[in-house]
Amino acid sequence: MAAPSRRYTLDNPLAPQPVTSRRDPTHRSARFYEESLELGRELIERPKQGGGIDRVRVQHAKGRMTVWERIRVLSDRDREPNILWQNWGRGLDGASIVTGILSIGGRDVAVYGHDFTLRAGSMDATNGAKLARLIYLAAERGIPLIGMNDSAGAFVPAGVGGLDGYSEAFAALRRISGLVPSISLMFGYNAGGGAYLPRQGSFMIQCAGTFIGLTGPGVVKSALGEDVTADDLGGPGVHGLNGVCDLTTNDELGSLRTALRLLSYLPNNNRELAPFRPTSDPIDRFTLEEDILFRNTFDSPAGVNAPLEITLFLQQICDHGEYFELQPERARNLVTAFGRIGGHVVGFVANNSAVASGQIDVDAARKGQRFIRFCNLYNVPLIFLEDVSGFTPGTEQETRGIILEGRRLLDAIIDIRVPSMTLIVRNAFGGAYAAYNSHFVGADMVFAMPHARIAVMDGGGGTQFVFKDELRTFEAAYQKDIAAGVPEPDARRKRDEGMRQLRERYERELMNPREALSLGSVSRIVMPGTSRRVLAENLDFLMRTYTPSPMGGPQREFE
Amino acid sequence: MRDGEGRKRRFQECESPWLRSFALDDMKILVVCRGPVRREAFDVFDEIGVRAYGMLLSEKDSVVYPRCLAPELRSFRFPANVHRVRDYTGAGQEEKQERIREIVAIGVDHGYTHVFAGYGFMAEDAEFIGAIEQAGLGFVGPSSRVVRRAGAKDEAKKLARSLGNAVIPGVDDVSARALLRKARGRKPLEKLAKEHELGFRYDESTTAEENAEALLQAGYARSQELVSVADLQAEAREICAEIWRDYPTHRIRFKYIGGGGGKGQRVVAKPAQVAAAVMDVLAESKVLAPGSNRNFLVELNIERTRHNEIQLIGNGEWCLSLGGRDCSVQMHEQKLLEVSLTHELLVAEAERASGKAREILRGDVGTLARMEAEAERFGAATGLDSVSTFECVVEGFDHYFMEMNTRIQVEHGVTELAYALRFTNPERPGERFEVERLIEAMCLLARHGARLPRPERVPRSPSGVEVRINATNDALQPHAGGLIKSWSPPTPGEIRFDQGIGIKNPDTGAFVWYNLAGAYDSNIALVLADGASRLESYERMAEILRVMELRGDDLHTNLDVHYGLLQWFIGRGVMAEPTTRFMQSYLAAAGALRLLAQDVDVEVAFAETGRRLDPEARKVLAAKETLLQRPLARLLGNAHLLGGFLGRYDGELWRSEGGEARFHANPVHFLERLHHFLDLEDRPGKPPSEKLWEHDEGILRAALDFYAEVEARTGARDLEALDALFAGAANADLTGGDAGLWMRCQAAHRGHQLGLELLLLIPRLGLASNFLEVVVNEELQPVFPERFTEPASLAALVRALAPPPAAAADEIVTPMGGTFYAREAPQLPPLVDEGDHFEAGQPLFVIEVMKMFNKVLAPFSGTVVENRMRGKDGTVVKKGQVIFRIEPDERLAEEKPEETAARRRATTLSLLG
Repeated sequence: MAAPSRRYTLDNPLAPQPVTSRRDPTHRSARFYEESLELGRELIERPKQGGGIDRVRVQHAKGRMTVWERIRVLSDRDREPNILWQNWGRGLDGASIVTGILSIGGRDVAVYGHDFTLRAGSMDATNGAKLARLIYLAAERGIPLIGMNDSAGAFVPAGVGGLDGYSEAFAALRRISGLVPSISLMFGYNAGGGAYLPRQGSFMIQCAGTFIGLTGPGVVKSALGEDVTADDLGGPGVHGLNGVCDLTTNDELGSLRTALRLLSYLPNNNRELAPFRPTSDPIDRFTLEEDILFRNTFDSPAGVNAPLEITLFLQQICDHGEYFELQPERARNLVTAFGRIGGHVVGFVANNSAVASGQIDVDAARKGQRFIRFCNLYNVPLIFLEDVSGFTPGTEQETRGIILEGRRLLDAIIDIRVPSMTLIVRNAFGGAYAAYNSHFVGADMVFAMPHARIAVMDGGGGTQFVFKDELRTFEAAYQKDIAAGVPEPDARRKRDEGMRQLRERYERELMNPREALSLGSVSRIVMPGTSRRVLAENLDFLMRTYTPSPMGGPQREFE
Repeated sequence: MRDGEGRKRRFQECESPWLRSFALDDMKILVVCRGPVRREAFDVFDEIGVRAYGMLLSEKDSVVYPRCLAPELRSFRFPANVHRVRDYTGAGQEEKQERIREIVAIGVDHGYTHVFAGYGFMAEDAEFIGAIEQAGLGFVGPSSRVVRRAGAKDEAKKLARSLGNAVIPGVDDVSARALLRKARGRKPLEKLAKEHELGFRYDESTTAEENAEALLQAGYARSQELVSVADLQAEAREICAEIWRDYPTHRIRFKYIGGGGGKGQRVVAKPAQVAAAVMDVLAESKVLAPGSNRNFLVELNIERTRHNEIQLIGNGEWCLSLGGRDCSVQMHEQKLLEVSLTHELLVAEAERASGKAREILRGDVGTLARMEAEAERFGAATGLDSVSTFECVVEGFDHYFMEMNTRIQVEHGVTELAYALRFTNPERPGERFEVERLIEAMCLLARHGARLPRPERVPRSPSGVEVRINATNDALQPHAGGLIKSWSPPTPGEIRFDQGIGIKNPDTGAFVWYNLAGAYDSNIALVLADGASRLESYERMAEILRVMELRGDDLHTNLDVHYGLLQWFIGRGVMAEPTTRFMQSYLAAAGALRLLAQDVDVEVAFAETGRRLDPEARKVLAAKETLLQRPLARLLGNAHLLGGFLGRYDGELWRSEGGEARFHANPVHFLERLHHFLDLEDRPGKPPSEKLWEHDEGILRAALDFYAEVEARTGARDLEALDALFAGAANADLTGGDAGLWMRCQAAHRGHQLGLELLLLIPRLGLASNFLEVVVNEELQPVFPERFTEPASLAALVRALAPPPAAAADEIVTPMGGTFYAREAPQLPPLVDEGDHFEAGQPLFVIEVMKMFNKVLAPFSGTVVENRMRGKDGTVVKKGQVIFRIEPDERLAEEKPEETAARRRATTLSLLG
């Protein structure tokens, strides 16, 4: 760099010259050895150069880390990443994808990452093969996989080879699906295969300033005439809401740290349990907060129908109140979250009446089924917190196929083979009750709080059905009053008062846990304040008598 | 406690019978407050070894918000001692009494010996403390007798006057005056008493005011209303008119007698504001209920006010001042920065200072001495039997007594850094112990009070400083919510009271995400540091904040405000004496900076700089793209950081003459300081994205090493000397006659300096925005250009720091279909109606969907112009249906992206010169 003729340099000409060799380089065998060492060093270093300093700077100018820097964030601080096949590729440069085994929180994790500084992280046959090798290795050794995606798609000059590379990687990732869990981190600009491949993994995390899509705004503009920014087309604001991404974050560091947190709830593979952490939070503590929560809810102006943010309940029963919500921006009428009870990792599927009344619509059904299937495959026990009045009716939902999606949620529940429990927190009506992990679709235990409202129909519909005759009488009396010249408002008030009383009677007599208990559909009553204890004890019992294993049995129609 | 040998000990474990006689291990203490002091108290209790302790857990700490469980619970030693209550205080007299009964019952039923209330709302409530005392429990804090004597602001002022202490012009018996206006003299008053069935007899031996006061007290005791809110408003108008006759340009302050922390206070500037301000003060103090004691103070608002306070401690027999604290840096009546003010510090700083500053600091030594003496007299007169704070306003060398806070204060840690208490056995002078924590001292006083000999104060650090980390936006307005996802642990020398937010999950070791929505007020944490001088303590604090990492979602804190402000003081003068209005002018200055800086496009500036170079130079400059753009963009993107940097380095890195900034230091050092300021340098374990990129680090390191070597060999350091050196003939000291090396050195100098003129954008912004005109004069007064102090221009500039969310919409539609209700319940009024103003996040209406009642919240603030759903409660609406036509407060300025870019480009180029 320091050629004397140059007018500008950025080095330090006054720096002491580094000492190079300790041995006499004229000696023949020594020279051979020195040169080999030099070659070895150079080969190890070569992939780390990526596309060269200028490309690295471009990457940094976008506020993005290089793949090597991302690896450093993921790795335990005192452990060197174990990089494998780093010279695979014609240029001995690792072919723009870095693969290795990292120690993360003391666990072995297979990690790959595109090197965007080299050919924009695009894929050819070589790195397709390399990626597949790592993916199969992860499955073989039973360790989780983290992918750091930053790829523009197939490497066009590689022709069909690039497509083949993708096919090989697609196939590999699909084939290990259900064997080991994986987390896909989305960095930079990911189009086409670069978007499909990572979504084959278990969870996807996208940060701000990135793009995921079939194709970018340029093509969209020329093909469809649509004028849209990359962020509006495929940014985290889009994919956090449509379910493509499970989690969105503010920046790359946020994504990497979120992945570490998510990983702490995931097992290594489908033969093991998720990491158990003995808890210092007593499982038998009486949680008066539950009682306060229900009192406050029912004391509010909306009374027994007041919305209840279910995470307020959830945090009372988890160890130290901690839970980790997935798809937290989307379809929060159904909350899906990991947490621990008594040290066991649990998947929570909770109706949340604070959002859209907690009804199950197409989006909630999709969110729920995906989460349930994951837990089912990986031996994560499930707890359903039920407070649901039904599936969402109406034109919009029917048009979008609620019948199909609702049924898929039901299927996912019926397919559950891991320990599963349901706690009916308030409402459990009709089809939603039946579908939502009731005893007869397979729940190991079904608990109900004393104020649970388990019924065939909600108050309105139920009254109409059960008190058909009485209602008819009121209507007749109303007509008679009108005919007799009673002022309409008075007649109406009289009729409405009678109907209100009937409704109250219905709610009092038929919307409670009595019948379900008498039929054995509910295992036991749980008093507010004891949910944590009851769930923890039963979970512990179920887990004591459960042996984690890969899921077997026939593959069902649909999914 | 430290024993005579300076060892940390517990009394109950000492060999000496005298020391052991102060054992605290039989105390069982119920903590009835929250905030940072709760966790601090637990720590102190653990240290001194009390038998046990317990806490109240309110609903906001447990069930109102998700991810808001009281963090202390994660490591609470006595899980059985967590007592649930609805709230720590009550709205209104009745609820408060219910709460008091509840707390006393918890204390008695669970065998507590003492109650600790920190600086909570109840800590200064004589009724509360009295109830505790009557139940046979001890109160860790001033007794009800002291609170009655000193805690009510009107009583305290009377006492202060009688002791000859200086007080602010004003009136402290508004209620009595209002009563006398209606009923003056024996007959009318006794008649009124009879009407209300109050036992009252006119006492001719005293004044009419005293009699009115006595009747009022009788009324409060029986919840009888003698003076209406309207009476008080009328009376306040009269009093204000009187004050304005003598001080026509001053503003007037209303202050509820039992208020604190800025609650229950209003300042008025003209008669038209009086009635509303009285209403606000009473409503905020929750005394609108009939029969409540609604007395408030009306006093002259001292405009160039500094807020100083003296820490007091006493056992009823002796009373001791523990130096002062300057709390003048405050905003919205909330303190931000609190610094110790001690005799030792002022003497030493006066010694260091020169000229007028020295005179002023010497004068301050006298003022402090007078305040401390008055405080001790006042404390002794009230029979102070724990800790309290004697609050004064200071103007020049004059001070006026304001009030005495009969509780431990938020900022007590500042005093702990300054002084320890040394107790010596009067029988055996060799036997002694020292107490460093005021909460420990409070426990000792609560348990052994009268037996404690008068201590002497032992200086510890000459200077202590505290910053309050609050959840606020850049304009320091409270900002609700935000989720903390990580917080770096305290660094050595840092004292942090964070309410336990930093307590990791004991099972997993992970940081537990914490939702700030649950906080009672905006205070998140207190951070303290000390030093051998004011400057050193500020530098340490700035360093603590510089490396503090606080990350999360939608998280807004005043961390950057504090960091910038400390750096500003370090650069401009740490002994500056800001007034309580300093902060709003400082914010206005930051707002002016922001308005300008947001129009600077660093990329455009960099490209333009390259365009002006020859091709070879342009290529070399390209290598500095991130080295230069990244810190510049980050600094310019945050007015508080930018302001701090300007204040800190003006005159050191650059100098401005005739409105133009020129480098003073080597621009390479400027660049290094900039990276350091933004905490971009390397540290073990720091994620790569949070520090200099490796290639940038390489270039910067080479440049710094190069110039260090040049300086070592030739002594050339600042830019002028370096330019002269490399423009001249080969320097033998530098290159020893090696012509090639000389040329390489010249090339290195040219290369390293390339493009650094971009850094001058920083001081140029400071000049163009007038921010650099904000200085501290030789009389230690911060001085602002007029537009930062004039209320009209100031407000707009402060607003620029946190523009409210704008909306293009002029209607509110329902986000879901269902049954519409304008109100929460049939008997309640509509949530909003035509003509009403609504704030962002306020509930607007209710939509019932499948028997669930969903409140719909306002996405921005505005005013309802037309209510399309008037009288249509219970009707079914479709998703997207218009409910209200509205006028948003802030309309989105319609500017095309090209226009924005062109405007920014023009500003950038003009600043580039």
